[in-house]
Amino acid sequence: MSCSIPGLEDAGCLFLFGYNPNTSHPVVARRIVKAKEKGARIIVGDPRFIETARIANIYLPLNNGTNLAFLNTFANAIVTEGLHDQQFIDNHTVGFDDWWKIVEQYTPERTEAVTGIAPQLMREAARMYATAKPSAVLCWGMGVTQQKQNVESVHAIAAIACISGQIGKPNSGVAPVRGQNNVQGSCDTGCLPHIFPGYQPITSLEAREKFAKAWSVPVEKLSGHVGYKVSNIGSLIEEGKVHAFYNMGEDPLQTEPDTNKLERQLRQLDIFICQDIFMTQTCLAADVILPATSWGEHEGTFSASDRRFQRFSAALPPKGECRHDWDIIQDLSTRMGHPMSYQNTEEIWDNEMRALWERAYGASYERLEGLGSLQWPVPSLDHPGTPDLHLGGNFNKPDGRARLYASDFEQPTEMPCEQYPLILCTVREVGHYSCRSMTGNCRALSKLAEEPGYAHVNPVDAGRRGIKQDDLIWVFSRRGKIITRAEIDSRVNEGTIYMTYQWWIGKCNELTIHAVDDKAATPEDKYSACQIEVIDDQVWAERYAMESYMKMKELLAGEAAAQFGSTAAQKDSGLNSFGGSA
Amino acid sequence: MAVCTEGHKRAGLQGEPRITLFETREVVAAITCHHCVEAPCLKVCPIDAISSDDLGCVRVDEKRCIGCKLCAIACPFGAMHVGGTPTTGVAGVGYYTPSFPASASPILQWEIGVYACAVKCDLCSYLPNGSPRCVAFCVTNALRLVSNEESKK
Repeated sequence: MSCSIPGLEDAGCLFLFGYNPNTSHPVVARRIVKAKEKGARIIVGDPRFIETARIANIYLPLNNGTNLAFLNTFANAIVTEGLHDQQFIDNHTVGFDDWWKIVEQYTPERTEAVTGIAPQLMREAARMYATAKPSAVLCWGMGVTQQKQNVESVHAIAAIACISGQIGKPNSGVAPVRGQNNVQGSCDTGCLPHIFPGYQPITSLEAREKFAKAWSVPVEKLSGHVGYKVSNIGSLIEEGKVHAFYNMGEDPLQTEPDTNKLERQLRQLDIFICQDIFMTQTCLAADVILPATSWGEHEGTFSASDRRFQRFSAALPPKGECRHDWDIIQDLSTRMGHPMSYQNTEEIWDNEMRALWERAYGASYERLEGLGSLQWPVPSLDHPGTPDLHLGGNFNKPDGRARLYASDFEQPTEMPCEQYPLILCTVREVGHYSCRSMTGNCRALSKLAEEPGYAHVNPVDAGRRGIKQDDLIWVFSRRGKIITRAEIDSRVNEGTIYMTYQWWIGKCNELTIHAVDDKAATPEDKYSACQIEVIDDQVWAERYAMESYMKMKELLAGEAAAQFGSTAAQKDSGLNSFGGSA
Repeated sequence: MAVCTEGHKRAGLQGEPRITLFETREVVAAITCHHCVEAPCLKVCPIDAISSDDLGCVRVDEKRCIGCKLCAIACPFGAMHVGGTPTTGVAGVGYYTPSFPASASPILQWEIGVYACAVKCDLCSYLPNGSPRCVAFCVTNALRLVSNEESKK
């Protein structure tokens, strides 16, 4: 993010595009309400009438999968209405003429049939955003990134912020919110196939020399070869390029698209190692499971979406055979011939992060004590941190200028057809976190939502198929068929159903298409073709769903019980928690 | 909903939420018992399992309730629902076998071998200080407890 999350409250306009904060980030949602109370204008662009749409000044119900057409049109409206900031464009950007050659084509009148947005409404929104004082922020979430043209859409958003001069000043610019609490942190610390910690590219010899020196290894030991991306792992296994997979804290057989296919691919691995805190379906497929600790049992730092380092401490010691993630990695590294002997996470933070990434040097554990937090860049111990990036229009390029990129719109990979006339879009809900491994067995949360999960269906689509509230239904696509419960929801648009991806039985990722873009390799989770059908015998369906769920629980509990080594322990581990409710 | 469920469960009461969210396209609202003066649920209860205390809090005695559901029919706000303890949860083995569709009206649902009982908001009067947990835990301060005096104004 170019601004800070608290700073959203002081912006003059917030444009939420493909982002539903009330279910994915309730704390950010509160700040958006406060911003509105302080006088900010709110624009919401989303196919669903999300909670924030209720307080929006303008709501833009664009069609699913038309992001780039929408953004190009929005940009076109800014320029054709003369709302662009020519001075900012001249002084701080490069490539306006080439950019305009593409964007020029996307007039509101011409794209109305694609995006579903009336030209007048599009122009009003463009005016509200571009003329907002003192600043405007464009916030986006997975609604932009889990699409076919994700990278192109992000380029378009950045260009919109630049041409309207809504970046380079306090509380302005671009605000991509992350999908998990520490995605920003894993990027900061170099958990990407092309960078060392602190975004230092592995392809740069200078960076490799720096890290080789710090780690006391010969520079030839550090590969300059950009690694594979996790969403490509299945096809890489099939091609014989990947033989071993060490999976930490992820449940890809729940969260990746087309899980049936992925499971077949993972079974072909020579060795599959899983490091997790619970027995997940992915762990079932593993050869080796390394038991790790949960958030309440270890310490460390999280980086929030706004580049904010925060420290957290352990409330409980590890249980049984479980060990801290860093401790497992350290031991593995030592056994593989590169000894490490850190005593705690502070030593790791100081030596592996602060010492090697100058923008984080000032964020010592001492300064992050308690509720302390710092936003990078924070280059020295007396530096206050940086809430706003690119102040004065100074961008992170050799010439300090932003690049403007535009691309033409393309349709999503799998369009609806006669056999699969509905769009399936995967989303989040407030009751459960991500893949449910941490929240699914919590009784209080199961009262908010429980297996086999829900598909949110528009009343018109439901009525046409004879589906009532809470009916169990089949959902099927070219890749699979699952059972789920219907939630008749007048906030979702006709022609699309929305499902959350955490359920074991109603697992929507058995249905989703595995299509990734070639730049970020992010799956197109927001757009697959599907069909739904009511189940005639509802009592049978209720029993089938419950039995499938209990069988899965027994399977996982039985497998996990191996660690206790006795049948008595097996009973303790899960079977006695099978109480349902009437 | 989560703190409501957990609090009552810990107190040995039905582990069910007594507050729910009502959502339409335009509105989201928390719905719970209104603790009516001359509460219809209290009047229709055939075994006097529902009572009202000095503060006007209308409560169900979950141990006495026979699960007849008259109160759920009488309630004008739909604040009364039927909970219960399935034998599967007590015995600790086997699993629950549904015998009705979840889409059926809660008032029509019933289960063989399950002790049914009316469940509603008791303003957390099982707690020593008697202050509702939903109010204390609401992060946006959207809920508050109104006293008899205040409600008369």
